[in-house]
Amino acid sequence: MASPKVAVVGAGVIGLSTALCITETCPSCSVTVLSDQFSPNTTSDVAAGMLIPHTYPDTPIHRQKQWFKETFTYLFAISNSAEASEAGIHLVSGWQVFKSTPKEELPFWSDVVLGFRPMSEAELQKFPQHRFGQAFTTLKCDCPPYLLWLEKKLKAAGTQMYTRKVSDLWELHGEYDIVVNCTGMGAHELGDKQLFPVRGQVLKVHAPWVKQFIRDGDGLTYIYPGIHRVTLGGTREKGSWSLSPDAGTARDIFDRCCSLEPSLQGAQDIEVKVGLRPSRQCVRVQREVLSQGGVKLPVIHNYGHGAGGFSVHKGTANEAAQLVGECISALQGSSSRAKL
Amino acid sequence: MRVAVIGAGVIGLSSALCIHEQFHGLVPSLELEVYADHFTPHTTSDGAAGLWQPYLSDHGNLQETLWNKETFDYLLGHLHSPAAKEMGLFLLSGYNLFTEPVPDPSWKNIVLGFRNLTPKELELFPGYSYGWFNTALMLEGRNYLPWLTNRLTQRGVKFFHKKVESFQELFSQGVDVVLNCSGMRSGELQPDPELQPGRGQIIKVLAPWVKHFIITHNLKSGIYNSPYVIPGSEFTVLGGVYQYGNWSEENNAKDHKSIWDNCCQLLPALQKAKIVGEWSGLRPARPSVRLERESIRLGNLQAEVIHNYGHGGFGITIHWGCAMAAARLFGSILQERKALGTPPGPRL
Repeated sequence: MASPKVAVVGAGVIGLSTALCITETCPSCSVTVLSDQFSPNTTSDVAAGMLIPHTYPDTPIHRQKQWFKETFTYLFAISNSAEASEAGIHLVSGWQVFKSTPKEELPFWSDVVLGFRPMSEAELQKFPQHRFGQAFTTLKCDCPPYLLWLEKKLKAAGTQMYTRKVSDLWELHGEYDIVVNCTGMGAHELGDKQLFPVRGQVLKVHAPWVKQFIRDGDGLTYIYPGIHRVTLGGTREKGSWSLSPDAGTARDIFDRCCSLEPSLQGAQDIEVKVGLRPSRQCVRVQREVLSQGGVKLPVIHNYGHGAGGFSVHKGTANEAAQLVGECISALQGSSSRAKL
Repeated sequence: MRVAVIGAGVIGLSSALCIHEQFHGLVPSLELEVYADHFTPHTTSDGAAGLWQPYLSDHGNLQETLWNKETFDYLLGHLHSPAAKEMGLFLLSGYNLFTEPVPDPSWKNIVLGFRNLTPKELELFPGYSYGWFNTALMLEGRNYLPWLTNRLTQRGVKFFHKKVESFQELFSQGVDVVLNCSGMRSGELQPDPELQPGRGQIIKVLAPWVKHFIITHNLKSGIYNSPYVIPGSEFTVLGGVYQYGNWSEENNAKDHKSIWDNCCQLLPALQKAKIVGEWSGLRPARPSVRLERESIRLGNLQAEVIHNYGHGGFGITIHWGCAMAAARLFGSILQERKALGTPPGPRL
């Protein structure tokens, strides 16, 4: 197989980063991105893009940590380069505060982020309703900039991108040799009923004096300063498919964030956004071979990142690209055998 | 009782506010006036980035360390008030970088979360092998000075746009006490060879992805003669010039280039930042702050001057502690005058 044709379905952070990774690990591949949505209309565009991992119940912790570490290292290097502002990657420091001391005082990722330590008594005084906290510095990927930067790099690598809704992965057989399924929430329609939405509503506001993140350890209330806007969150509504903003929820989010950071009362230009976290008990990074009437279509799945897409995207992209490599070897092996 | 404040920078306005807050109830006849030839946004305080951070060493000047602490605590107490945004007050974390280990500063327990940098953090700053991380405060002059002005105006304090040529000039008009908060040009009112300019120059850029202050230190070239980056609410300040004895307030091309090149080397992403302004100012440098009373004999009158100047590159950092000290000095003047005026009886 001279130039394997790889279709990556999905153009959120998972699809684009996976596609880019494939162009790098398999230079002879011809990579095409197919998606019904591109930035700024993907789920990734709604997310704040903070590198604070979500814990997947059924993925081994060491694997989650490896994914996070690879992602952090990759983005750390970009944040330190001249491309940082274009890529939308920047360091941000802040606090995770808890109303009651968490069972696990040291999360698995505490040695990956920078300067992780418990908050001092003096720092906790800023949060009278909270009794315990952690201070650290991490990275943030602002969207759309990060997705646009990935698209730019893909184009430079010769990747074609098309707006196209793929209703069934099988429809791509014949056109492509390998399909990479990065459809996020779309994987539900493609047949994975273990995938469920966790609805998140956020506010994006203008409050440029807010330079630090604050996150309640319950994961529901957070303030994440981006390049131009601060993301205020949020909600975790399991099983809700609604993409319509809810006014009562918006008010509630605003109030909760103002109680963590009173100066937000002065925030301007409040925009309300909704995204559906493509959630699963474990992230599906896996090979599968679809087959109909003797014809085979290798598929690499890379979806189900739920609340942790940005935090592990590079790690899962690396793994998916590796699986693509294995697929290609397998295809080349079988095509050589066919020639004998 | 007429009190005239000379100077409308952070020192003059905050001293005026502190005195009015403490004494207008006790002294019904108190009339406070502010005289200045420059008002916000044209004062030295307006050009400063507004970061609360003292110098690396207080040179044993514990009084100044105490005033710094009083200022920090005062500002921290206002952080959650509705006025914070209008005051230009917000928390900001960041890095102090060195090429060799240094002793901890006098202010390590004043700021929040002070700690040394980890090896991984130092990877961000090639060329620097040691450093600190802490959370401090920003108090932007461009917001704070108008806020102070509004508070003073609401209290009936009068403002006069005029250059005062001498203390005498005010006393002869019936002013009882003068607060000399004239910063860099105090020497024109009363010669002070210890007061010298510490010229600074800054470039203002749009770099909203920068969320930390980064201050580098070169122990050989001295404070603020090494690149620094301080993100404000509207733009980011790039700096790193401290020229002792240089009175020029013109932007210098060579300084511009060195600030730009050094800051871009520190933070490569700054190369893409858009320049939106440039400014030069004179830090009113002095071996120590002059904060003291001076009684001046004018004929058969005793006139009182309270000096409050010479805050160098830490005016915003120390301002409230000094304002309160100036107010205490004013209080002592009041006590003496009351004592002189009342019939024999219990000492106040």
